[in-house]
Amino acid sequence: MIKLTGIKKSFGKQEVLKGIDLTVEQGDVVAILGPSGSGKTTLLRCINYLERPNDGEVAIHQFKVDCKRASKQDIHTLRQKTAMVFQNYNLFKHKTALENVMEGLVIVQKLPKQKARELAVQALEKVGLGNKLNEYPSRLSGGQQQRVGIARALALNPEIILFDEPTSALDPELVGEVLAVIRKIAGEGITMIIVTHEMAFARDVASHVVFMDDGVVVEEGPPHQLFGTPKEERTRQFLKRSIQEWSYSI
Amino acid sequence: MGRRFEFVYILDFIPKLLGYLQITLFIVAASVVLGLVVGLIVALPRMYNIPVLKRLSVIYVSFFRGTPILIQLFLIYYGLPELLKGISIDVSKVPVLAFVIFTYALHSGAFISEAIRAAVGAVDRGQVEAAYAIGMSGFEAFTRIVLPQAVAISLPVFANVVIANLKDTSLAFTLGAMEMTGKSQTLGLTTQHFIEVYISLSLIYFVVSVILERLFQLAERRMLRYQPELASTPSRKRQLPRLLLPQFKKGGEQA
Repeated sequence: MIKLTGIKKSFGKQEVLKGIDLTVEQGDVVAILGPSGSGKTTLLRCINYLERPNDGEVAIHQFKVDCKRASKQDIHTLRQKTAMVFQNYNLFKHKTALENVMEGLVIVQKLPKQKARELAVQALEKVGLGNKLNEYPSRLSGGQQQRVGIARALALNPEIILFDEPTSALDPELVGEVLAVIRKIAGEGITMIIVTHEMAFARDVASHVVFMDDGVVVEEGPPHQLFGTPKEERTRQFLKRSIQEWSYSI
Repeated sequence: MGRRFEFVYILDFIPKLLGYLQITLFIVAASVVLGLVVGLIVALPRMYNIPVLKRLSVIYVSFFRGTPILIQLFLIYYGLPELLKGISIDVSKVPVLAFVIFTYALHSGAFISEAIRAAVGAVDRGQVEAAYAIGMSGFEAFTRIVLPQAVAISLPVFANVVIANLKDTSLAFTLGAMEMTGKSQTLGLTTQHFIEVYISLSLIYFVVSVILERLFQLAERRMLRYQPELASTPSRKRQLPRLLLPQFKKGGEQA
């Protein structure tokens, strides 16, 4: 179980997160929706301390970190329990797909090379890239690169995978393959938080949907409730706008 | 000046000069290796924004990039011993070569530090975040992710520094260092065939430069194999004109 309590974060004078509470149960797939600038990505990055929260607490199972007192060791432990998939993939450009996935296993988890290789191959096969093991990222399409990114996260066997707008940088025709992979691993009971703009995907795959605006959680609940009968006016407005966008035809 | 031009002297001088090539190469190698260390040390305060040291490194770099290497040689060879005498260290027994290497190390260090700074900046921040996210420490992220890419990116600039350095070592003869150019002076004086000796000398510099250039190109192609547009080996036809017309640039200036 992942529990965030009172997470606050400011950049200079601008308060981006104004005290966020969020609980994610084991096996949950949580989708975070919201307009740009609402703090979704910042919240995600606070969980693994890519941004240091100004206040609040991050807890993964029994392991609790008070953001005001987090030591280097605490942050290291948090990062080992989590994995992240980035909007821009952020693959290591000088390493092959296989090496990208093995890197964390060998360097951080200190597994023997042979074992790491086995796990990495398994993860890459799971995302459908068993035939691209030795390709460098520059020779892969955006969708394939993002799938390597997912395999890199998956192989670490983390408590939770954090997806930061995993399809936003992709060409429309490549979005499907990445969503299909995320859907597949969601079906295997891996806990994940997904910041996304893909409404239909969130509705289908998420077990819990959170709507954020202006640094606060406006509303949360199961997808049928949040999409079907939203309680808050701001949620309704947002959904109306987003759903209108889909109905454009060219 | 001197005697009538005789072609045979060119061939005669080449092996005599080649005997001193190793000293020239030694100066280059030693000063570049030292320069790498200096360059990294000098680049760090600017990359990590350390207040006072940052200023010092800026001053150092602009001084060594902004003054002629010949003047730097004189300043260090004649000035440094005076300075050290003030704190009662006697360097009169230190060989000329040490001063030469020291000067060239400081000189190339300035260019190399700029190259390192630019190259490290060129590795995108996202990869570092990805390294942190999988649990790497700052040191691991730097040595395993940033550095290998930075080295590959800075290789062309580094190659220019090395080749510029090779040619600059010819100035060491002004301090009486007996490297290739120094030897050519004495050969010229004793035989009075100056033109021939300079032709031989320039041939050797040229060939060594071309060989270095080619080696760096190979290394670059290997290190940047993850970038398809550079990794794919161009056909021989395209290679040949480049071999005949190498492009020499003064080190680091495009960084």
